[in-house]
Amino acid sequence: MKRTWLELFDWEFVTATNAALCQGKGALHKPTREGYQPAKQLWESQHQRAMWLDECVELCRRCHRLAPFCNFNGNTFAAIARQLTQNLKLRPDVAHLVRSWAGHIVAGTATEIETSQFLEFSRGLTDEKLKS
Amino acid sequence: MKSLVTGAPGWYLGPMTEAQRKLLQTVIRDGLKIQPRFSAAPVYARTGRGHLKSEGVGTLQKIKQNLSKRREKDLA
Repeated sequence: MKRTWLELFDWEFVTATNAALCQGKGALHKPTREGYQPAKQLWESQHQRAMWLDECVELCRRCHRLAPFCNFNGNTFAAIARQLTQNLKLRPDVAHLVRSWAGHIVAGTATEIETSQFLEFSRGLTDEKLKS
Repeated sequence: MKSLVTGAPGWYLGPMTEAQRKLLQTVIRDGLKIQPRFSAAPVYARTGRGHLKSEGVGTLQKIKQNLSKRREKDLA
């Protein structure tokens, strides 16, 4: 099921998320010289597109790796990816697993098994699994 | 502008819809919850390997315990 999962998450949203997370830890919130523009361009070219859930998570991972901000890039994009899974009607233990897979993929720490399980899960999603 | 987290002034919040504002609060809440597991520095960009401390199995065990308690209640 392809969907515009990230429609509401524009770049201002991403920036505001990072600013708040940095503020929470007293860390510097500032764009990086190398990563900010490429990540912003990538995000803005993709976030309104209808995608599979795994494609959204992959977009978050790629932006994390580009490191648009000085601090807490992983936390910012993982929190966004995890939020997407909240739109699904799942048993609590399955929801926890799916949220965890999404977080690990974005963080760049997922195993091949986790990544392929998430892909399989994502491609098997149907409208009935969506919360109204 | 005031911070969504602490209410402190001086924090940027661009033009957002009400739906985005609510969503932002939820994302920030979850982000702060998982923050201790992340490193602040951009490790993934520098090394090509991400960093995320394991959550352990505690949370999943609690969820499963609650589920089985609920099932037992439903059966009773």
